[in-house]
Amino acid sequence: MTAIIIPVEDTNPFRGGAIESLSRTGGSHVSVSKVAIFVSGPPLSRRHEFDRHSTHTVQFYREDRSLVEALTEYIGTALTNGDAAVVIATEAHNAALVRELNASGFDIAKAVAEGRYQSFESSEVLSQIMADGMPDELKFTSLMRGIIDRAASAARRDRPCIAVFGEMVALLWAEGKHAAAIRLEELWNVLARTHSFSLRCAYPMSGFGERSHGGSFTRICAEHSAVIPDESYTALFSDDERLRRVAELQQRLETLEKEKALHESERQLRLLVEAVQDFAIFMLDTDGRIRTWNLGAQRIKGYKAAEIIGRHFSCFYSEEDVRAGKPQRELEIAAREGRVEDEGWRIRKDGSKFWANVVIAAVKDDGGNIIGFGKVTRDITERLSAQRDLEESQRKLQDSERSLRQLSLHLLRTQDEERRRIGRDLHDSLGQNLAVLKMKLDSLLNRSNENHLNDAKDLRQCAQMTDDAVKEVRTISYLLYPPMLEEMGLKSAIPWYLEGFMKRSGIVTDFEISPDFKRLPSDIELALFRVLQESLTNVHRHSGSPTADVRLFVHDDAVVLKVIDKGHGVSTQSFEKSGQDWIGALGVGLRGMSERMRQVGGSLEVSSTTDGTIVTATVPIPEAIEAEAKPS
Amino acid sequence: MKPRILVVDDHEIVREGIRTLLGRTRSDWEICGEASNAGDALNAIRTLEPDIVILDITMPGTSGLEVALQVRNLRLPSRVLIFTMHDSERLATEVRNAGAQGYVLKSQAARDLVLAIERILGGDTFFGPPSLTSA
Repeated sequence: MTAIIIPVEDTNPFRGGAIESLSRTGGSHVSVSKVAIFVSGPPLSRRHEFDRHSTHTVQFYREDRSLVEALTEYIGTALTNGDAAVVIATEAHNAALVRELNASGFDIAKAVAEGRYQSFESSEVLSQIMADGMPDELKFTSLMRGIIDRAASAARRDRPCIAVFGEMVALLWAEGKHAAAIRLEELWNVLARTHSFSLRCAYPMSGFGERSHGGSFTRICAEHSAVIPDESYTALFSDDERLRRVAELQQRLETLEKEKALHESERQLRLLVEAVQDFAIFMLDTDGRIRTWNLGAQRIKGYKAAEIIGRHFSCFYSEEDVRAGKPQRELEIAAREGRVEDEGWRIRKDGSKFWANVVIAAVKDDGGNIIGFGKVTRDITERLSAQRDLEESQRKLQDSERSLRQLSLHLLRTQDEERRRIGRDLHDSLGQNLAVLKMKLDSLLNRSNENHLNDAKDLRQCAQMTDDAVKEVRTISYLLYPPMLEEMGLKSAIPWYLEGFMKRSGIVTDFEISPDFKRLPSDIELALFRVLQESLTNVHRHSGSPTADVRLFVHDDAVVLKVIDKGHGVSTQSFEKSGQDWIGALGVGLRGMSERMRQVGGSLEVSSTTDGTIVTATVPIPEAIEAEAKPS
Repeated sequence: MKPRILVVDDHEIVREGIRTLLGRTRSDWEICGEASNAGDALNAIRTLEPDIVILDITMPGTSGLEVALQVRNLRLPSRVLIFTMHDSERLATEVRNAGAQGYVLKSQAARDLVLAIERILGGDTFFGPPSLTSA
């Protein structure tokens, strides 16, 4: 004998009801009542106090046959004992029970005639006691009281035990009216306070398959004084087997609890993914058909889950991409490499395009086999457009820079022309006039009379002042425009210029030039000359160098001008201050040099250490000049 | 026969200065012509065949040094005296390279011009000491 005691609230008049006589009746016929499990109930030591007249047992079953067998024993026992039976069952159960009882040797027709066997169709009875979807206490009580009283009076002995089987609760349960089923169980319990009967309810286990049924199931059990598990338990022969079965069920329960926890976490993850709006997150099967969908996918792509699940994901690609086999190729890469990322135009349901960032990742099972693909898509059209705006701004900035450069070039040219004009003017008119004035004063001085000593002295002063003025004008005009550059080229103009520079600055210069150095186009000569002038000005003003070496040579079809000083170099601070634009750090002078070089297709490089600075200007020699320079 | 001199300078005032200076000091010399640019100068040298060409360097278009080179290259008989504003130690080299026989700075004309012409007419050269003339 095994009894499992499950504590519940003690509100049940059947509580403490007698355990039914449990005995194997032979053959395959197993008495379900053998294993009645007491719900709550008293400790085992009080079992003898149970009243066989007031049990409210619930039986769960899987097969109708098991139910009918159990009922045959339950009802048969009552009839054998001279008690009466009330059966409120479905038509099929009623018929099967009568058939089985007759087969077991009972004369049911006779019992019916005596009033000891009353049977009712459960749905009909139910219709009589229901009001507004719930069992009505008054209707139920008056109807049942009459039936039970009739049964009691038909019984063959005093204090009969009326065996009632009721299936109305199971009908209500099957219809989903769970509250009504539980209410009806309560009404049976209320009736039991005033009437003596034992009650058997039965529910098919198939009605409790949902996770949400757990609470109601417990509640139903609580409304009964005893519970008979389904035949997977009651069909077992021995206590050993039943204990084994309990242990197995406990193990399964453990597994289910774990699975439940896992499912719960998966459910939460799924809910999270489904709720994400900024990302389209969904699964593809191994062929690329869509299997899941989330809110983000709906928002970004415009399809609802029902419209898209089962379709191939290539519908998000342009016809061109599909023709080029891009969707399939991306799956292949994801399968091979684990994941693939792509950016490009994708198509919404309404045909509009959006710029998407797409990641497709292969999803594998525990054995490493690909079972599908996870796809995450973001709509980054706005980012793209921001990037395009930025590029547009950069382009405009570049245009502005180009315009500025052109303006600066124009200014440089204008400045050159202006310098040339002023230099020429000084040289041509003022210079020549002064020269002739000097000539005439000298001539006058030569002829002056010794008697006019004061005149001679004045004349000499005039001549000296004129000479000074000539030199001054010449220096200014040379600085404004390189002397002899046009006439004789860099080869002559540079040493001429260095000569004057040495006199003005005190810096010792050295000039080396390739012996075969030829004339160059005048714009290149002027540009190089200006670089030289500017570099020497920097050497003089900033470097502190006592020397300046100038090198002019041809290397790799380019003219190279180097100005080398031994000064303290350009400070790193100046470089850092201007970031990448080191030319900027050195002021307008070097910027102008750089610009001049750029204009003639050349480049300017400045390398500076604490040991000095080297300015290198390089200009490719135009092809025409090269050809001319080559020996024929 | 008087030595014949061609004066080439793009500035009229300079040519006038030379005429005055030479006219006052050496009336035995003849200024046979004047030119104000390289082209006219070469034509005049060919046609007038002066003994001496007083030649400015800086002129519009072709420079006086180019003219001197042409004179040498064309083996014209005239001798060339460069007469210039440019004052540089390099000047002597440039002038020699161009094939001229000497130079005089314009600012030292009163002192050096007559002397230089005399030297060159005598078959010599005149490259005035730059150390005396440079600033």
